[in-house]
Amino acid sequence: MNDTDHEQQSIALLKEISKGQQPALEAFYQLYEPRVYRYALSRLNEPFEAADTLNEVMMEVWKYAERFEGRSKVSTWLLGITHHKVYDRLRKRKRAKLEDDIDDFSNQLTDDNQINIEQVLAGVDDANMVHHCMDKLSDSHREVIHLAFFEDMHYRDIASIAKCPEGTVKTRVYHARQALKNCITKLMVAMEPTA
Amino acid sequence: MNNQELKENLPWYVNNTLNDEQQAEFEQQLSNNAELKQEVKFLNALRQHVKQNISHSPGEMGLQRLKRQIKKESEQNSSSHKSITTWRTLAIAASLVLVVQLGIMINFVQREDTFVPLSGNNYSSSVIQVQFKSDATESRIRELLISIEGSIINGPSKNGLYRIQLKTDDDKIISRLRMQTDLIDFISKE
Repeated sequence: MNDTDHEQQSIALLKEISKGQQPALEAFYQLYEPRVYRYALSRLNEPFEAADTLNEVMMEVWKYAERFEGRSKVSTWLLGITHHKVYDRLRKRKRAKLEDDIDDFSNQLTDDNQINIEQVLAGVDDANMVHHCMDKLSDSHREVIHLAFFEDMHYRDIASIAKCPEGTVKTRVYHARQALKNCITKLMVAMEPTA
Repeated sequence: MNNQELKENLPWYVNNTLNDEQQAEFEQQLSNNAELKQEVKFLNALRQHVKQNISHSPGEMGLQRLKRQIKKESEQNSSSHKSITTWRTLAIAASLVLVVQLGIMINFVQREDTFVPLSGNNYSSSVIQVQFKSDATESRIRELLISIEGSIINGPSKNGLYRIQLKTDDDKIISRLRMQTDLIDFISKE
């Protein structure tokens, strides 16, 4: 199934869901469950909370499918709902209340002078190292990396989901990259054998 | 695009979401920019890791959970609807009681308006307090009350004060009464 067919099928399912057709919801769930779950997990870093979020998002779809107006792709609309649900959870955890401050803090960690690109390119092949460094990113940085590289989304769509300007998306991705490089460099240096 | 813009837009080149023209521009820039090439290598590796980081989603268990919740909420809504219906019936009954009660009260008030006190029909227009002379006779007091169209509505008090209802609120009557010094000791408007 190509992207257009997938989108048409999703829109048709949403119409059926808005009429209270539960089989349509089940089909919709099968189509989008992994993406919603992984996006929630990428931000929450907690499988149970991500599963709860998935359930909340699908309940929202069940109750308010008619709110989809076709102004964006179904996946963008759906991940936008997920973004809000995740944000509520993060706020409850009192982690997201100073998002800008976190961004600023992350930015301080991305000193280009500390980055050694040779070490980065050697370290980026190590999955464990990459995952360790991904976990160190702020929520907003993990979010844009996930949407850009797991979902392969255009920055316009990411901005729509994260409810921020497109320029902010680009800046966040840039700083996230730098933070990852910085982290990998530090790990590589730490692993170097001492003389 | 300058070098910084190129760096900022590289992720969208790597994830193939740029249009053909932008994609071509990157291809051209990459051919002679070693730094950009390294960056693309890094981003491709990163993208590969992100995609390979497969975590097991709830799958069928999640779907069963969702269906259970829908069923539960549906039952709750149904129960809530029944509860609302019961309360609505009670509320309507209570409203009817209030309407009936209000009707009775209005009827009572309206009937109260038709009450005519023995002392006169309108006792809210003007009331004066009067103390007659101790030797004032009943015939003179009656004559006075008739002349001013007044009615005794209360009294005498321990001090000998009478409250007299006048048909009209007319200061001239009070002035006239004050002239009756052989009959009245004290007069005051309430």
